[in-house]
Amino acid sequence: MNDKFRETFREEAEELLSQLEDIFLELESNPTDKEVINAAFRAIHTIKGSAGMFGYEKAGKFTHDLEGLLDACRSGKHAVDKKVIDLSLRARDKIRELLAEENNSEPFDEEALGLMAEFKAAIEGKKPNEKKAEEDKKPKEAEEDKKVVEEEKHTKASPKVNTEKQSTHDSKNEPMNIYRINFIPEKDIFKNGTKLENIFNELSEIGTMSVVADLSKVPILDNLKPEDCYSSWIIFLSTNKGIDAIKDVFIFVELSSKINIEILEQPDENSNKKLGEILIERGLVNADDLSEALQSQRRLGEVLVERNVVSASDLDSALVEQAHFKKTQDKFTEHSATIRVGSDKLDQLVDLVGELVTMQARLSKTAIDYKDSVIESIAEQFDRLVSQLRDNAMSMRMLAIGSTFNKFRRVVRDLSNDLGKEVELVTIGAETELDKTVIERLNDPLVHIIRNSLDHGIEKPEDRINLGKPEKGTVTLCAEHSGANVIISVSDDGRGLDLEAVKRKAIENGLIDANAQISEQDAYMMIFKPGFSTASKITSVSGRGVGMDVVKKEIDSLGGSVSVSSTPNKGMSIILRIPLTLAIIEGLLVRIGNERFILPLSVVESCIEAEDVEIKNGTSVIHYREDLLPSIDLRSFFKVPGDVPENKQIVVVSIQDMKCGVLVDEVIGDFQTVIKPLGRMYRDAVGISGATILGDGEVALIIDCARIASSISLHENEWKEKAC
Amino acid sequence: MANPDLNQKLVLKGSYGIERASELALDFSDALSKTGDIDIDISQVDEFDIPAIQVLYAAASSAKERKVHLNFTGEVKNNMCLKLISSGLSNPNCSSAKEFISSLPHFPGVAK
Repeated sequence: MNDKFRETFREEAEELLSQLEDIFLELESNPTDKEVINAAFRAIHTIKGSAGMFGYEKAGKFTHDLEGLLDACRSGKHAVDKKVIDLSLRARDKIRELLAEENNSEPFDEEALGLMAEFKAAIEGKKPNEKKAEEDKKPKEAEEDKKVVEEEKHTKASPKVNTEKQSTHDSKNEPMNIYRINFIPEKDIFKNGTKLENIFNELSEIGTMSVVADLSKVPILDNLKPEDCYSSWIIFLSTNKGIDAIKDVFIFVELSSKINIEILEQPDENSNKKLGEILIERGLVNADDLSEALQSQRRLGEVLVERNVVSASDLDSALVEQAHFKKTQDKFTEHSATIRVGSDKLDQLVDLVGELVTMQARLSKTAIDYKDSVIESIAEQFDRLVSQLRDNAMSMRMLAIGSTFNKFRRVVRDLSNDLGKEVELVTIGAETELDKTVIERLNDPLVHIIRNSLDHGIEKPEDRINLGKPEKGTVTLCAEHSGANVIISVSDDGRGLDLEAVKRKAIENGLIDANAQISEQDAYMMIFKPGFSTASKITSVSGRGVGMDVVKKEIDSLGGSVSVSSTPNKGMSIILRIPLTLAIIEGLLVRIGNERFILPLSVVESCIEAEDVEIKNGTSVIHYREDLLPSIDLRSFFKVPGDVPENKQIVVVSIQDMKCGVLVDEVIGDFQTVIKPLGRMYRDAVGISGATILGDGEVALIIDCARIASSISLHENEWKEKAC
Repeated sequence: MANPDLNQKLVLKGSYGIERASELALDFSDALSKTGDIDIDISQVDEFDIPAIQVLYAAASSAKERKVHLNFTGEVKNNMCLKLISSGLSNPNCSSAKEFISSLPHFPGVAK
């Protein structure tokens, strides 16, 4: 088997397994929702079919057994209870392991066999140990389970395997078809609780859908029975899934409704259909009527309805069919233009674009040095092209943060179960995009914060009831763009941080002086100090003071910042501000002495002459738009030697709702900055977040404005007092 | 020209699922049994299920027969419309009650 195909299958299976986790968690909240059970069944069915096809017989066999359990739930033979969900989630993890196994010929391990025994026991309504006792009586049967893998390996071409392949209607390799579905529900369909909206939603999930509703049979109010159904639908569905997948959607209404599914044709580049063709195909008009109507030089549909040749609803559905063909054709073209590329290749591309940006800076510099108008013009055009290429390459690496958010559903579920708490995870802004590298590095900090919220923030259900709160706690994960940053907040509605306890612990740990006056925010930030914990007892989840310091370190290393807000008994929020990308940024090149530095352009508010710098009681402040801002002299901060120029410049930067002035010798101009990491030796360098290579080959350091602003912020109260 | 101040007012609120379809039909029957056009404020409606939409159609047909004008008013909730899109009973661009009613296929009394 070609490794590429196997790799593609594994990637697709990974996506399905991620979806499956969400589906199982959704099923836990809505255990009677047939649509969700069907969705789980279909995902499992797809994995099973494809696993066999790509040589993962063990995973196929294991999934087959899980499918049996889900089938029992689907047919109502087994209720979807907590046990089924637990079992299904564990099985989902096991499938992932089985797919990652290199050697497929090994027999099932104990865990897999145990799970398979549990599936069978659950289907038969027995406890697993009862089942095990029975199996002990029949050792041969257990042996057979192990053997199946071997047997299936040797019977790849067996009729059974082939049948499975054919019935795997979810295979992406199947051709795209357009289906026309006539759906006339029975009159009493609403009375048994059926929500037709769910059927339409489910159909829309398996393909591109257009729907025409016909409510022409709804009578006047006096004759209406409000609980009866008078409506019918014509649905156009373009999908590469087989007819069985469509029938599955109607499985619970098929006996009581009229459902007619027709395959129209396979879309291609020429799928555009004329309205007349559609009407003739459907037998709604004949060729004579059509040619007569066409002669009128007016809109065909209008003429035909006017002459009572077709009804308004028939015309509607023909027009929707025409539009649907057009939509499908567009999709077809779009699909043909989409390819799957390994993320390592994308990383390589971004690295190469980075090098190109550096070379471009060099070319621009050379063009200026040589004062050659031809080279200058080429350098300008090259600059524009490189900028476009950079934006394109960067956009390819942008991913929605939703995939990371979804992983936490399982974390919250499992952990709240372990802690005996009820917690709901709410996510907002899942579509917010961030660079892939940044997203990958956010996983650990978010896990720590969520674990901390669940363990220390959210109270036990009985305590919450006593406090007049809902029994179920809520953790909210929210992401939103803010300029060149993304703000991610993790909020809970728990007990909040105990400010006094934090201060007491900080004094105990010698982090602050007993008489020190620190702001609320500074006190909250103590929770990010290594080894700091206010928890009275250590649990398996948290309390050792490890974790939150990891959060701070990781966010700092991403060039981001952390802040905390808390209200006693209402909850707390940890807010992360993260740069969108770590690869290439727009920067402002400045000079201090012979050194050059880069300030990220996203934080720069303006550049002004340094006329208004005042020293008040030893603190440097500037007047800026009728405001008084603290300022910092980078020459002193970085101890840059050399003569101080007569006229300095100030760059006003805005970070975390705080503005401050940064004094430099000269503002050179904007600069596309390819960020190079500093390496381990310089990782503790304060105020520097990275380096870049300039056009002349020299290195410029990138200033960590957040760190510099926080060093000013620590003394904010002090300077305010002095300045006033 | 009719004085809009004399119109009857009907304010619909909350979710209209199957369980409230009869109540909705009754509200319209009551309003139609009186004289004058009817202003229906749907700005506070969270959801219309298909049975409720059928009631709207039935009411509109009855109103048309009795030459009564149904005037749907207010800004509609985005979610209310979104839930109906997959059933072919709305479109994503509805923000006012008038747009919502126009998006309903062949709604009685609405010229396309």
